[in-house]
Amino acid sequence: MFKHKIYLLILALAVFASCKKEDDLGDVSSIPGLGGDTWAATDIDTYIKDTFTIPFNVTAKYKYDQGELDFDKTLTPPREEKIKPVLSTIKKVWIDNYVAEAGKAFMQKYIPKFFVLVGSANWNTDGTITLGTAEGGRRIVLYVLNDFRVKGMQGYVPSDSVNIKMMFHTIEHEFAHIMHQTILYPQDFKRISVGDYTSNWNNIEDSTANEKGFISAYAQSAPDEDFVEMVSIMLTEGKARYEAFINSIKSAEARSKLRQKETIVVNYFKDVWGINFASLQTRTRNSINALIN
Amino acid sequence: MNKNILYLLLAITLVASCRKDDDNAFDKSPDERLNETLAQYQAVLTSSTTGWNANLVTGDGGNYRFYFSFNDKNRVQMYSDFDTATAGNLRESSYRLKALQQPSLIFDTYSYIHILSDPDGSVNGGNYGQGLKSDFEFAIDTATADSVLLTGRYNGTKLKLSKASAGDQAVWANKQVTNGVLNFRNFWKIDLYWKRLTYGGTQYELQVDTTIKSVTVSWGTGSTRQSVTRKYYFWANGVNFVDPVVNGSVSIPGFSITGFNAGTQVMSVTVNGTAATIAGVPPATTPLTLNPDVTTAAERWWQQSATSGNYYLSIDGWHSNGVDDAYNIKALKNDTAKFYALLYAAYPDGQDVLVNFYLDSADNELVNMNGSVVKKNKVGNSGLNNFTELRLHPKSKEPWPATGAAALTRSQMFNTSGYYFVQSSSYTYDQVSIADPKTWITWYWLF
Repeated sequence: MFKHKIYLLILALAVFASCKKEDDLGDVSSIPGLGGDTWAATDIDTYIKDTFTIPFNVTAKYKYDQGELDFDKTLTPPREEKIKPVLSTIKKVWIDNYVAEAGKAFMQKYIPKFFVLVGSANWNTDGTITLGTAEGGRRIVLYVLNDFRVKGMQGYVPSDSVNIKMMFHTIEHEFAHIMHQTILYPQDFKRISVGDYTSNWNNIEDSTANEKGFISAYAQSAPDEDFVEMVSIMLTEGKARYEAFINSIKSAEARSKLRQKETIVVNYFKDVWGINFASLQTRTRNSINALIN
Repeated sequence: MNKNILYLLLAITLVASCRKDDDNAFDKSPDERLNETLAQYQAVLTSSTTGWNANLVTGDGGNYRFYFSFNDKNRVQMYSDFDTATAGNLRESSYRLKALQQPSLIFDTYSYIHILSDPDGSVNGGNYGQGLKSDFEFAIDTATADSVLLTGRYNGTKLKLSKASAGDQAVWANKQVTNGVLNFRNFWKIDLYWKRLTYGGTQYELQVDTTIKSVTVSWGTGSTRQSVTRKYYFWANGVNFVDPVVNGSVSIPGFSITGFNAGTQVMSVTVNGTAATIAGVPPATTPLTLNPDVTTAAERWWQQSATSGNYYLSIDGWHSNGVDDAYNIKALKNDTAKFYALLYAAYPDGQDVLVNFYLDSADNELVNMNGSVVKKNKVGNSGLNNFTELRLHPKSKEPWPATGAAALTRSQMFNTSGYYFVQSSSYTYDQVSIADPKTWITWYWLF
């Protein structure tokens, strides 16, 4: 027995001896691409740094990176000459207005930190196009930058205003998600249209959804989406167009539901964030009007 | 006792099994070697002070010519023979080299090379959502001092860079490529279908496929007939073949276009600096075509439909005397429906069908407006065919009218002198009249 213990001891020593102690990783700083892509900085990089990164810790990736995008889609990077106009309008319409109403500290804390800019539209297999997507309150992908034109730019036609409004609709929509995910809106909101939410929203026309008390078909997908669609459409359309829209709805019940939702949205902004919604709405719509009219 | 030996052997094995050293097969780490490779590629790309000539072949086989000049600040200047604007204006954008699965060259902001990839079909004439199946992210296969070979990462586009001379750069800068694009448009102003280049006493038939920018060059007669297909690009006021066409001791690298006489319909060109002409082949010429493929094209056209059960469509009707839709078939309409397409479907029993389809706008349904049951007749072995009308199509809404576009379309189809068929691209056939080679119809195969 004792002999075996000795053997086991020797065996253990042999095992330890066979173990290699050091396994150098080598020079990790030589790994290419570690810390992100690098390139010689241009005007655009300086602009993004000075306007977004330094004040708000936000960056915008405009150089093509397949890793940020759908692998099964054909997409193109944006034209360099479109990047500053797009980013400066985002700042004017969205960031500046929130800063004016809610303060810079609010914006620094909650702003999505990462924008991905894409030149072409994102074509879906059914022939429709996606204009923007967002994930996790952090990353917003904006498409169709190469067709971005505001009033005064060469080739501007009134129908381009749809692209501009859609872009801000996407941004305001996602930003409203961040707000309610931080502090939830009152439960009363979910009770207004209880039972009418459906995952089948994409087969429903906007006008049908309107008559059921939803501001858009997508709002009918879930209470959270309903809430942020209310916020984003009210902001981008402005007071006057929103009122006209409400009055165009035939169903009195639908009008009443939308009014209830509107009241909750306005109170939520005031009570939770101390933001005067009417004032923010006026500012936002005025900024958009300046781009399209 | 045996156990002791076993323990001893185990201990020895364990000690011996340990490898203390960790030598790489190479004397540097993979990261260091990758960095070296990227630096070397960067050095190659920026080494050419007069830039690079580039030939790009898309996933669909389309051929495009580019000029690139890279600098060490991630900037690239570019021309492209895509159209007159891209050929005449130098455009600067950005590029970078990146270690993806392979060392890769990425054109990372929009430029001429992205036009081919743009998923908006109105930009490049490709399919919506797909473009022309090109790439702007390339894996670098090899890089030497005067050539770089790359492969697109998504659609497998082939890109070949070769060092440009100062002269090449000047061809772009002096807008000679733009002129090439413009001058070549006159080629399509020659109303006769068959077009020949006459150079050095020999006639070369040119059959151009603009969808992938290729040209089939045919020459000789009888048993000496031969034909080669070359990709082409716009160059120096005209067109260059990617590889020269060689006929014995004669080599044709392409042609510069020096003029076009609209009256006589003769295009003046130079080949290797020597004057030559491109002109249409008049109807009385024998043979009309030198292209050996024509002898079998009609049968192939018919078999494709007969064996698959699918059909050909023509949305433009007959082209005649330089006019698309010469009979104005697109204007046909009635109270609720208007012209949609001509259809030809072949059947193995020889009872083919020619139908003039309307689209009813009210219920979005196709209407068999007028039609015929048709027989295709092979005449001789030259590829000549004509069509006979066996009877009216039993399911047509109305018989063929006596006058107008539908009547003209029908009578043209049954012209007894017959037709040659030419495969004009991977999905189109042209049916060309013998009696009047200024008249033809293009059949699209959409399957």
